[in-house]
Amino acid sequence: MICLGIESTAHTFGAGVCELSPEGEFRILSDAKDVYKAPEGSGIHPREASRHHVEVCADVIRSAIDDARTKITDLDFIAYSAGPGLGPCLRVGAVAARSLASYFGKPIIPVNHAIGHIELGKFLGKLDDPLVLLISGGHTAIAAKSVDGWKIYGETLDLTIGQLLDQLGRYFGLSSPAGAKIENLASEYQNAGEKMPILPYTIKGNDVSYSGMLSAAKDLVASGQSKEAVSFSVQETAFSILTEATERALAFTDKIELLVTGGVAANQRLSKMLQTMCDSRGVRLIVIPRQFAGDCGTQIAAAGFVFHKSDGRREVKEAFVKQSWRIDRVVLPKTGR
Amino acid sequence: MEMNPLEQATTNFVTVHGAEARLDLIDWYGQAAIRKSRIPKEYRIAQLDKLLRIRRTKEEAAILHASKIAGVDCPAVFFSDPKSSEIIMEFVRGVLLKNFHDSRDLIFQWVGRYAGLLHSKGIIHGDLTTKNIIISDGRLVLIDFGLAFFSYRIVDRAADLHLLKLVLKTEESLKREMSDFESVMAGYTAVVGEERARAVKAQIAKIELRGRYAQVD
Repeated sequence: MICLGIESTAHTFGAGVCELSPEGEFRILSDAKDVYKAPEGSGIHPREASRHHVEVCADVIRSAIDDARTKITDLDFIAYSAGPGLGPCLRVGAVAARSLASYFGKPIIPVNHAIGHIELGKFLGKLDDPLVLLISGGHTAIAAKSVDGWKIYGETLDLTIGQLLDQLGRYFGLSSPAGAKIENLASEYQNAGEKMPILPYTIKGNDVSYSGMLSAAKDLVASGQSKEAVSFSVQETAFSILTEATERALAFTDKIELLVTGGVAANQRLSKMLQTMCDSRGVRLIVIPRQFAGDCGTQIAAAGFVFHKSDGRREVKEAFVKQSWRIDRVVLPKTGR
Repeated sequence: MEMNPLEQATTNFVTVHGAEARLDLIDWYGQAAIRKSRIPKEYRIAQLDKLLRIRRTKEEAAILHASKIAGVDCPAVFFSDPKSSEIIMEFVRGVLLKNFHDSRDLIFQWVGRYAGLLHSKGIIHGDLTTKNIIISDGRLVLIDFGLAFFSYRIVDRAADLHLLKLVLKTEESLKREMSDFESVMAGYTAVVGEERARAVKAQIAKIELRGRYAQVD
């Protein structure tokens, strides 16, 4: 089976082609993308991002097909990310998917973007039943699969970890996504002998909260603390909270595998903290490779294999987009992969 | 030289590694007791780790005491030392509510009453899950106040119960969604009164809508 996945929930327009052999062997044939760059000091403007997507759409899909050395006519089905995401952006991907599906007569499968992150991680890590830590600009959630769907064991009560980093970055005059730049700033902080500035540490059960930390971090900068010191403290505090919540969820669910996926999974400091925690519990940690941590078409293709059976397919006119779509509201197909 | 009371209690029976602390079943002057030690977390930098462990040990001992006075059955504190992050408390023998499936309606009403009693005294448990409640012949004992704090804010009360609601949701099939939580709220209402319960319920609804990508339906 060959599937084309189209991703357009936020800043990334991506297309990827994947293959699943009858024996269940998963292969990525291509992964093409073009990322909308916000101006310095600002976040993603939905309309501007969607304009970017319209401009690059045809080229990205064409290179995904060419790189995979296949033809659209050889595809078995087309999956697209139907949500959650920014409305104008989602519609670009959905229009592209519907056009290809109706012109070439291919089945079309709407996919939940977050499930895409998870399913790609499961394929790449050869994982069976992991606890999932999904961390990005759109999500901060700890989830695991049960008989009747994905369940959320903990999540953010306000900002996502990606938003915390992006908004702090924006305050520093950086453009989004700012995670990598914050990580660089933090690594330049030399705290030999001195103490880092303290930020609120908010954890409620398995749930986390970052809005108070963001305000306090901005106040610290305004009162003269260096960007490096504040970035360092934000990373240490925010990631400790995340690691603690994840450890609690591991203890609660008794899972022995942890999958970390989403854009913030690329952060080295966070990976190190999670590795230390997992080692102490004898849990196997899989962090999705950096190149597939962020949004990409490949993740949508991977999820397509889970939903391609008849109950996941839609008529072209019923191929929807949904800006708000929690993973615990996704109806899983009765027959798994 | 005075002997450290911890060193007198040397007979270790069992050790449990929780997410946050290590629990040792020890002999405390002839009585079985739990020693809860907040172990340093290697993933956290030392400065933050120490600060959190000392703060949480102090708060937990104070809140366990206050909860007893509020009328909630919880382990009695025998000894506490913030510096070594240790609390020695009563050992409660029994079954975790997570693994107990009889007369859930009645039990969850009691859980709700406990939440109501705590909230009335300004205590937020902070980790109300079915792994933190023990059924022990005739007693319903609330344990692990490790994340508890003092607050009279409605948002904190709602977040406290919202966690329990989430946990019950993960344990139930979609078909009989929420009946256990309805029992909890019945018991809660019986203690705090209709008006306050309504305010908390409204706040829980707000928290749910604040969840990422929640749907208004």
